[in-house]
Amino acid sequence: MDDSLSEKTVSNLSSGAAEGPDEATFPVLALVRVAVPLRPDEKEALSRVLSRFAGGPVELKVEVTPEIIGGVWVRVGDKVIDGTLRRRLEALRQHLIAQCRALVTDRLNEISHPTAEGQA
Amino acid sequence: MQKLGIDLGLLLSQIVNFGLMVVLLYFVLYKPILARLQSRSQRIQQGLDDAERAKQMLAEAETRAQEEIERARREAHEIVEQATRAGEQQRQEILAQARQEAHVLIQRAQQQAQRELLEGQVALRQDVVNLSIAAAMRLLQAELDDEKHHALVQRFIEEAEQLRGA
Repeated sequence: MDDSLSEKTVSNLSSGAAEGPDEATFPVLALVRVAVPLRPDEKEALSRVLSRFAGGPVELKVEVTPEIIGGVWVRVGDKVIDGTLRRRLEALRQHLIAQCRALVTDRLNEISHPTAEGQA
Repeated sequence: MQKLGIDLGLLLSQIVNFGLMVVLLYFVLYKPILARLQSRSQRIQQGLDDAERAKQMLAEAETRAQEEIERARREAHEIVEQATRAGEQQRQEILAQARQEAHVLIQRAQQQAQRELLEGQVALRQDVVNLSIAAAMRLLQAELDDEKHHALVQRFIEEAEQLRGA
């Protein structure tokens, strides 16, 4: 279950940003979604972190979206960093449902192909 | 002879006449009757022989017939036994096949019932998961205050910095 910040997405963003030299010159638009308005210090810290990922200055566009429940969702270019509670709960839901299905799949295989011990 | 009153000539003639009569009767009566009697006796004997042969033939025929009847009876009995055995074997085969088919049907029905039960269970669990997650989302939305929201933002920033540093 993916219950932390989506590392893969961050890695992709980091490696992808290193390939774009123009992004170091012009600010990259970073769309940020949060559940509550950001404080100035949070915006500054977020800009600083995202600029490291993007390899250059970023311009934040903050949207207050209560549907994400909590945390931060960021899109820089075609890269997405999803650190929202909604994503984590959705990941938890997918994980639990997958476990249910896996359990049933095993049981169904046992029913369809009973072992010799089970037949005895 | 005359003293005795016997006429010799007459006697002689009588003797001749008697002889002639005997000869005549022998040829005219005795021989045909004897021949007839012999013929009749032969016919009777022939009839008796024929009757004896017929009796023997009848006995032989009866014996053969009895043997044939016995043989036919044995064959019929054997045929009946074979048919009975074949019928019994067929009955056993049909019963075994029916039992096997019933066993397979019961197994399939049990498997189907177990599958449907499991599918129902997983559907129920999925519903429980979905409802739980939805409830958790609503609960979090209601319970998270500004301080916790900002704590989450701060945590996001810290994790991002750590990832970038790594």
